This record gives sequence, C-alpha cells and structure tokens, in this order.
Amino acid sequence: MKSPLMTKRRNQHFIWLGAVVVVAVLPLVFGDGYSQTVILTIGLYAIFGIGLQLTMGTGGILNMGHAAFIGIGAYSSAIVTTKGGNPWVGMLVGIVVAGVLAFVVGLPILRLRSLYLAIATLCVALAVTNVLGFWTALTGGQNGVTGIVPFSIGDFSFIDLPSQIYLIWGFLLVAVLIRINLRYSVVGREFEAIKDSDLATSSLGINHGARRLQIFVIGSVIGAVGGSLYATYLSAITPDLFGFPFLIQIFVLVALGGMVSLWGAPIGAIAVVCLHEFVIPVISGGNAGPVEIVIFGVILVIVMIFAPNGLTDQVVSTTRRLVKIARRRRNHDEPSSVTPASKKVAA
Amino acid sequence: MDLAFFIQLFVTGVTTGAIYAAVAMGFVLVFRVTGILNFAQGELLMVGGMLIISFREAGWPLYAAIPVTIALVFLLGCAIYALALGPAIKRGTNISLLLITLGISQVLQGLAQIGWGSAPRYTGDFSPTAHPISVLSVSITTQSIWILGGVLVALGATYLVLERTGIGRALRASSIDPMMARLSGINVRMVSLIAFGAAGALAAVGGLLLAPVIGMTYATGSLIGVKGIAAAVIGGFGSIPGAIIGGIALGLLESLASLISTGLTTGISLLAVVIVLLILPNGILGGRRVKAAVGV
Amino acid sequence: MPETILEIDSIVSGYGELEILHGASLTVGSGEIVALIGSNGAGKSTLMKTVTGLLKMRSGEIRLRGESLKGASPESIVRKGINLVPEGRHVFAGMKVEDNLLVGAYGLSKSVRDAKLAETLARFPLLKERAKQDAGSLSGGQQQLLVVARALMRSPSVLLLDEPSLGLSPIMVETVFEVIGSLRESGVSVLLVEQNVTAGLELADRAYVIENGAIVRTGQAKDMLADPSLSNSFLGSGAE
Ligand SMILES: Nc1ncnc2c1ncn2[C@@H]1O[C@H](COP(=O)(O)OP(=O)(O)OP(=O)(O)O)[C@@H](O)[C@H]1O
Ligand SMILES: [Mg+2]
Repeated sequence: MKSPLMTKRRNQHFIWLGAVVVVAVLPLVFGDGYSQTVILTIGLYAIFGIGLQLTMGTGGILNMGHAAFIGIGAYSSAIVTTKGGNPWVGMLVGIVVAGVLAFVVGLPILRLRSLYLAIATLCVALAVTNVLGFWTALTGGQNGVTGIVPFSIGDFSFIDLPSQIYLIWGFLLVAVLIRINLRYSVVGREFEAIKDSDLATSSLGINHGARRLQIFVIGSVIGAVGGSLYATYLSAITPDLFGFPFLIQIFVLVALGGMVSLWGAPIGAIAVVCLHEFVIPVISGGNAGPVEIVIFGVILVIVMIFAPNGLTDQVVSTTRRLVKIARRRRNHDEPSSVTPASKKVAA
Repeated sequence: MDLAFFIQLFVTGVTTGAIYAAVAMGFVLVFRVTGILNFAQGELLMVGGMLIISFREAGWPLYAAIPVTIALVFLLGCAIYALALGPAIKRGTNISLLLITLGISQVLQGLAQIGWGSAPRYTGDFSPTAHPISVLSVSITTQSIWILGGVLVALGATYLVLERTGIGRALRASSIDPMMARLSGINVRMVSLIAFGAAGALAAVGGLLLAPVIGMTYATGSLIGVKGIAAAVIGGFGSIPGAIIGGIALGLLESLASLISTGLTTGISLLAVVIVLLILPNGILGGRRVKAAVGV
Repeated sequence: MPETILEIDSIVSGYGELEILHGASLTVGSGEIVALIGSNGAGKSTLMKTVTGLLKMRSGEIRLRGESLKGASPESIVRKGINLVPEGRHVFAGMKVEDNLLVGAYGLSKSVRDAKLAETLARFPLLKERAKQDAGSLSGGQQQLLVVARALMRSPSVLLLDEPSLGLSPIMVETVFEVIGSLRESGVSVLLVEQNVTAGLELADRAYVIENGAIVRTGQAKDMLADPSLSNSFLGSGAE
C-alpha cells in the first residue's frame, strides 16, 4: 500500500484537475465580458497569492518585496515585447531576472532574523519601484509601457478573454502543482518543522537557510510569471500598479486565504477580487481609492489579530478541533447509552 | 566649493537628520520594549503634521497647537497598542504582528486622504522672517532652528524620562529582561502601551516641525517611515543613542547625495541599510531576539 | 510551629501539554526558612515559577495569608508580597546598580522608594560602593547579591530563592548565605532551593524533598541532615 502522504498528494492533484475542468466551463457559461474579466483577475491574483504564500507561509519570510517581483515579471514582458521580442522570451527574461535578483538578495538576507528580512525585502521593493519609476529610458518612467504584445502559440494568439482565461488558469494549475509537490515532499515536511523558528541556521544545520532561499526564489519566480501574464493581459502598465496598495491586496489575499492552506490562494483571490469589484464600489460611492485602502487595512489588522495564520487555516484548524471534541464526546457517550445507570453515577 | 557651502550642506543634513532621529527613536523604543517593528510610525508623523496644519488653520496659537498635537498623537499611539497589537501579541507571530502594523499604516493613510484630501497641505513657518538668518554667509531658516531645537528638547525629555523616572526605569527594565521586569512588579502591557504612546509623541514632534517645510500629504509618512527604519538600522536597532546618530548620519548622507542628484536621496537610504545589513547581519539587533529564539 | 504564611496545596502545572508538577503541597511559616531539595529536573524551579504566576496552575491552590492567588498575574503577586529570585543572575545589565534597586521598588511612592534605597545601600556596602556602576559590569557574586537586594526593596513577606549560590566563589556563597540567614531576623519568610544541600539544610528550619513533581518527604532540617539515606541521594553531590 502507498503511504498516506502519497495518497493525499495524489488526491490533491485530482481535486485540482477537477477544479480546472470547472474553470474551463466557466467562460462558456458566463459569456459576458465583465464576468470573464473577473474570472481572469481571480486567476491572476491566485498566482500572485501562491507566490507570497510560499515565501510567507512555507518559508516563514515576511516578504515585503513580492509586488516588486511581480513588477519585474510585468516589466520584462513589457520591455521585451515592445522592443520586438517574443512574449515567451519576455516571460523567460522575467523569470531569470526575478530569480537571479531573489537569489542574490536572498543570499545574505536569508541569514537574517525575520524582522531584518522584512526590512531588507522592503528596501528591495522600494529600490525596484524607484528603478521602474525613474529609469525612463528603459521603463518609460511614470508613463509606463504601452502596446505589450499578447502571448501566442504558432498562429494562435491569446487575445480574446476566454483564451486568456485558459492561459492564466493553466499557469495557475502549474503553480498549484508545484506548491502541492513542495508541500508533500521531504522539503515541505522539513519546513513544517522549522518555519516557526527564528534562526536561519539552527541545530538543523545550514540547510535551513538554503531551504528558505530556495523557497524565496521559487515564490518570487511564480510572482514574476504572474506579473508577465498580468502585463500582457493589460497591454499597458505603469510603475504605481506595483506599489504598496497592490502589495497590501496580496497580503489581504493571503490573510484571508491562509498562510499554508492549499486552497488558500484561490479562496483569497476570490475574496479580494469580489471585495474590489463588488463590495468596495458600493461602500465608497465614487471615492474608491482611499476607502479601499482603509477597508483592506482594517481586514488585514482584524484577521491577523484573531487568526495569525490566516482565516482559512484558522477555520480549518478550529473545525478540526471541534470535530475532535465532538468525536470524543460521542465515544464518551456510547458506553453510557448502553448502561444508562452508569450515567447517573457519573453525573 | 568653499567652506561656507559645506557648512550649508551640513546644516541642511543635520536638520533633516534630526527629523529622522525622532522617528528612529520611536521605532527603537517600541522595538526594545515589545519586539515589534511598528510600520505605522511614519504615519504617526504624518498625522502630527496634518493636525498642526489644521489647528493653525483654525487660528490656534502655537503654544496651544503644539502640545495638543503631541498629546493627540500620543493617544493615537496608545490606541494602536490597546486596540490592535495588545490583543494580538500573545498568539501573534513575527509575521502577523508586522502585518498588523502594516495594516494600521494603510488605515491611517486612507483616513488621512479621506479627511484631508490628496493635495499637499501647507502651513507657515513658526517664526516667519522675511529672509533666512545669515551667519558667515551660511543661511539658516528659522524653521531649521525650530526643528533642531524642537528635536533636541524632545530627545532630551525622553532621555530624562528614561533615566530619572520610575516609568522610564520600568521601560528600560522591560526591554532588557521582560520576565524579570514582571517579577519586579512591572505591568509589561502597561509599559508597552506607554512605549507606543511615547513613540507617537516623538513622531508628532517630527511631523509638526516638518509641516512648514514640506507640503504634507497622506503619503508623506510612508517615505519618512522608511527613512526612520533606515536610521534605526544604521544606528543599531537596539540602542537609543544609536538611533540619534543613525538619523543624523542618514541626513548628512542624503545631503551629500543631493549634490549628485536629488532623485538619489532615497536610493542612498536604501543602500545604506543594505550595506549595514550585509556587514552586520545579526550583530546590530542586540541580544533580545536571540534570547527569544532560544526560548529563554 | 509558626503561623502559616504561604500555603501551596496540591498544585498541578507544567509547560504546554507537558505536566511537571503533579499535585505538590507545602507550607512556609512566618519568619521561617524552608529548603526545597530535589535532583535536577525534579520540578523545583517549576514550582517557584508557578507560585509567582509565571506559569498558570491547572489545579490546586496557592494562598498567601489565606488569600487565594489563583489566576493572579506575576506583577500583582509581587505586589502582594511574594518575590522570586529566579535561577541565573537576572540583573538589568545596562542599568546602574542604583536603578536596578529602584526597579525593585517600582510602583511605590517616591519617598518610600528613596528611603528603601538608602536602607538597602547601607545594608549592602558592596553595592553602595558601586551604586553608579553598570550592573552588567559587576562580578557574578555581586550580581547575585544585587538581585537579592533588589528583591528586598519591596519588603516582601515571602522570598523565593532559586539556587542563589550557584556558580559563586566560596566567599560570595558565604556572604549570600549570611544575607539569607539575616532575613529570619527581619521577619521575611524564605523558600530556598539550593544545590548545595548541606549548606541549605544547615540554614533552614524545615525542608521538603521533591521528586518527579511531587513532595516525597518533609521534616525538620536537622533531622534530614542526620539522615544517611538522604545524604546518599543528594548530599554526596551537593556537598562537593
Ligand atoms: N520552559 C520549559 N519548557 C518545557 N519544559 C521545561 C521548561 N523548563 C523546564 N522544563 C522541564 O521541566 C522539568 C522540571 O524542570 P525544573 O526547571 O523545574 O527542574 P529543577 O528541579 O529546577 O532542576 P534544576 O536543579 O536542574 O534547576 C524538567 O524535566 C525540564 O526539562
Ligand atoms: Mg531549577
């Protein structure tokens, strides 16, 4: 017989394949452009979220630079394609740049304690947005880049919304599979054990730091891929798209979805996109910007107070505990139902 | 380039650095006592600046506007601890606590934008003169003197409270050995609350002094907050004199960098932090976190 | 036997899921020095931490002069008059000796605080000479003396001492023991954990033996000193 972990991993694969089939049908059901935009955005945000979940939940790194890595992916695609390059090459450049930057930045900072990691990644984030905003010759400065070319395979170009949805959700599936495999691999289990400890190099050995670095790079690359898809979908980007409010949105996504839950990123993405699209416009009545910032800020604060590991994780663990208690109580009750007299005595 | 020019640069640098020092000291105070890096510190400065502008618009004299501003931001700092971080600290992780302060910074920014608009707000110098004062061909604005004097008073007051009063000793004791502080009858929660309030007051001093110099917007705080963190890191996150030195050093560094390009100043802070982090990856933080990690 | 001041009644406590004390009971009388002895890991420090509220007790009762301390925070227990000198030398390094002492009187009025400081410095000339010095720069023995002196700043009714002589030079051990002995005269009750069992028992009026989180023996300190079965298990190592 296979180990339970293997079975669990395989089950997760099947569940996700099922989910993908559902998504494949969605654009056919929701034919209108707006619904399709929403579905597409959820897919994008889920990719962003998985990258951050990896670094924060699995790696235990408070990564303030995630939006910047997404920006790197987006700008790589933008710059490469507007200079006549192939969109796939653009994505590849994004992956390489983000991966190398994450690695280089990560080398020293991953030896640091968590608070310094937060500061260091914050510096990286600010540096990247500075470059994007001021290196006008390359990035177009504050005006950004327009005319980003969509992805294509052979003669087929991913231009209309349904095809873009399939593209993005396809990448999401890949990201999820990577995450599932990391989770149920040796590496993943090792991380369950070490993520709470603050020291990068501990009695578990120097590998601890190396593992975090690995996770940091993978998470950042996933972010960059998401950014590349984001840019080609928008076809025009500016540096402030990847600023603080965006970073907060992804933090809220992970806070709602949970730091480790495999379903966390899509759940969080649905929540954040729905808030952004449906709830906040109603509440704010026009002045969406600051109201949205306040609402996301409040959500982040409240969720982190009551569920430090994220809402979904909290719900899952609370439910588990309740089920356990209920089961224990039932087991407790069974003998007494057989002999009602003993119940009286016990009482 | 003559001597006067460099003195001029020096004065500008020290003035900016004084503001950074006030913010950095708030970071260090809170961090030393609670182990929390309060990302909302810069926003407290912004609120201080916005409040004094509003009070002066309402026609309040400085001797009323300044203490009320400081008191209100002190209370805001206390409220942040009492409502958010206090309840969270027991179950919180490093990540969750940081995200809470980040969320608070966003809330304050958003509310400021809703309440005070997006356009920069201005207020006049505290002691307006037709021309800057000129000493040996170095010109100093009266507001620079206000800034230097004000920050000096604030830092001096903080020093006296920490060194000479019971609550100051309690703050220091809690930051050195929280368990032993409790065993000496100190309510560490109360002390943490006061640390947050004091950090707020320090930020308010920075904000109200800075208000006449720049156009205050809801976003002013986040950039200065980063500078404050940078100053604290440069000075060694654990020590209060370090925060002051770090602030001044950063101000001078930026003042020098502005010779090359004004766009460079932020880059310099970031670079300084990264260099310090690279050279002293663990050393600066002091023993507290190490202890916490070992589980003492 | 003197009137009971501290009563520990079948307390159960531990760390997280781990239960260390399984219903330990003991009493300390007014002005009495009581020794608590037991091998490493028996739960002596755990008992001390539970009494001061650093660890929550799961069941049982702790009473000070008949008043229950259940659920009270460490800071409030200290204010009620129980003071712990924990294992290790917990001085506030980076603060002056004088300030260390004043922290011990935190929350008292300024006049009381200053009077107490003067009194304590007079009682410990060693500390008086170094009042303005950084506490971290004191020698190990001086630090231990400072911690004891600081605990006395609040005039506690019960003083819990966890291995106060650990790692001190013989002369300093003597000084610390003299101080502890002198507490009897000032009416402070003492619960003493001491790895040097002979010295501890010589100082104490009564003693308890703790094993695996439960009290297994109690009696007059003198009788225990004379008991060969006890000396085999503890005194051999402790007397070195
Ligand atoms: N913080 C802690 N977390 C978990 N277990 C602990 C902790 N502190 C102590 N223990 C365990 O509790 C048990 C009793 O420890 P305790 O410190 O009370 O012993 P002790 O009698 O004081 O020993 P010693 O003479 O070595 O000081 C030991 O088994 C120890 O491993
Ligand atoms: Mg012990």
